[in-house]
Amino acid sequence: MSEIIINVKKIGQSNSITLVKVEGSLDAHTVPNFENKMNELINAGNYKILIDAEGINYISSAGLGIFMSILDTVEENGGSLSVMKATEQFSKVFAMMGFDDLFASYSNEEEAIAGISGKN
Amino acid sequence: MMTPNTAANNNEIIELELRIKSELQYLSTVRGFIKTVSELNKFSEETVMQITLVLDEAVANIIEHGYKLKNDEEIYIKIIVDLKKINIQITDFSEGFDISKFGNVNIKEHLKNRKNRGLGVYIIKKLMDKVEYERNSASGNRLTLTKFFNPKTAAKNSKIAQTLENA
Repeated sequence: MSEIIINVKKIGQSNSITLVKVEGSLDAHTVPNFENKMNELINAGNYKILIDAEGINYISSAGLGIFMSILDTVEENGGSLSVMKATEQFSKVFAMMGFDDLFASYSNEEEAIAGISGKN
Repeated sequence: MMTPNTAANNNEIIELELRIKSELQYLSTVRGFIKTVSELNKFSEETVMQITLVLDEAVANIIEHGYKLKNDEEIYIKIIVDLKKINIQITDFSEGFDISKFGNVNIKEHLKNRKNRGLGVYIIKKLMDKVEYERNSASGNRLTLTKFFNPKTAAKNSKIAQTLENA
């Protein structure tokens, strides 16, 4: 049975970036849980989001859809969505759909903080 | 429940069956099934990734759109692997989800308009060489997906989303 574990912490200068570490599979079963958590964060005003995708061992179109939704909402609010440590499957699924340029992708936290902070 | 059935006189054909309840929590079981199939056949990582994604999408669609999330129904999956191809047959007894009517997505427009649904069928049609759907209220609806190992064979046999209607 699949489940998803989500941990959140603030990083970067003035704790301005919300780091969301996701572990497990993002499929049609687990995506609602992920979506709820992300909506909670966004509704609380967290618009600069970095997803640590190292632990996402699988993503389906349901997961892709949520990423698109999150991207829409944070950008509407002047924020950004970035990903770090994407797994091979994660990257391939996004690339297959032509979505690989949708958001910034980083190899590690330091690079991500520099990249995200450098945009603002 | 998983049933292995290796053809007695032909070691080059592997046939495996899986029966699951129509609950989204069993999508991980379906993905595990592909892992078992791939271990028996030594598929490439790319093939495993593609088949896993396609089967996950197809079963999710049946549960969500065919059975409308009713969780006390069943879905039967049969995978047959021979030297030339992988053939996946998914049978359900729902009202039916006619795959031929979906998935004709213009990805650039989809991206431009930031639509976040409707990609599952697109993925199935993009990754499989043959997609056939037969609706049959008596013996069950059957979605048959085929992937050829040789791209030349794939090109000759491509048939996307042919739908057969049977009373």
